[in-house]
Amino acid sequence: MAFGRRDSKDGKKKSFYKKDYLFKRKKYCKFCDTGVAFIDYKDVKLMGGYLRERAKIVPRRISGTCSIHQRQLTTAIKRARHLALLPFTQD
Amino acid sequence: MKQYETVIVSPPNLAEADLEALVTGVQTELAERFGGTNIVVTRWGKKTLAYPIKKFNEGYYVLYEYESDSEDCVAKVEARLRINENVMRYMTIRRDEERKSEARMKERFAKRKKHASDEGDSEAYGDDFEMEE
Repeated sequence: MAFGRRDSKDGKKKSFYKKDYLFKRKKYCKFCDTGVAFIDYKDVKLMGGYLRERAKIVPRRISGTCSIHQRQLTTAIKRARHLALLPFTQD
Repeated sequence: MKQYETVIVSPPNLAEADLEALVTGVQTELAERFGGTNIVVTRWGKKTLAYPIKKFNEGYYVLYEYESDSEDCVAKVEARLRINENVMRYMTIRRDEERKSEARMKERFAKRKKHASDEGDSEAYGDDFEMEE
């Protein structure tokens, strides 16, 4: 007996969560889309959008950033943190 | 020839003359003692720090872009900055490798754009990144 999980008519299992039934928007890398060739540590405005409210770096799985840009972003943020352009933590 | 960038952060309460001495002092030392060439100095001015350093909430930022052939140029510059009391933070990075990768990325974007216009496919960008959570 499976609770909360119901197989649909065509036999495929459907997710437990209701939101998964709804249309999901495909994530894409915003840097690739706008054509950012290199993420500089001096560009505080750009990097600030990829920090959570506790100043943690937003994971790829959430933001949809591609691996190349995520790597660039991470180094850039870490460099900016050393120079106190960006915070390590925020309370 | 390797390209470098050094940023220094100095305290906000320095006297005008001291600040001037610091900024030009580092520049002349770079050029004359440590073999730096093509030095470009950019003053970002006073900025609010993201977290306090030495109980200061502000810092004066200066950026040096330069090239050097000698192996220990960066080591020597950093050794000087480390003992300087008027430098709260410093960071040196190598830029030439990054400029190369930047050029590579630009090439790739150009190719992709061309490809998209050739195919008349407006969704050419999205295809590489199929990811669902």
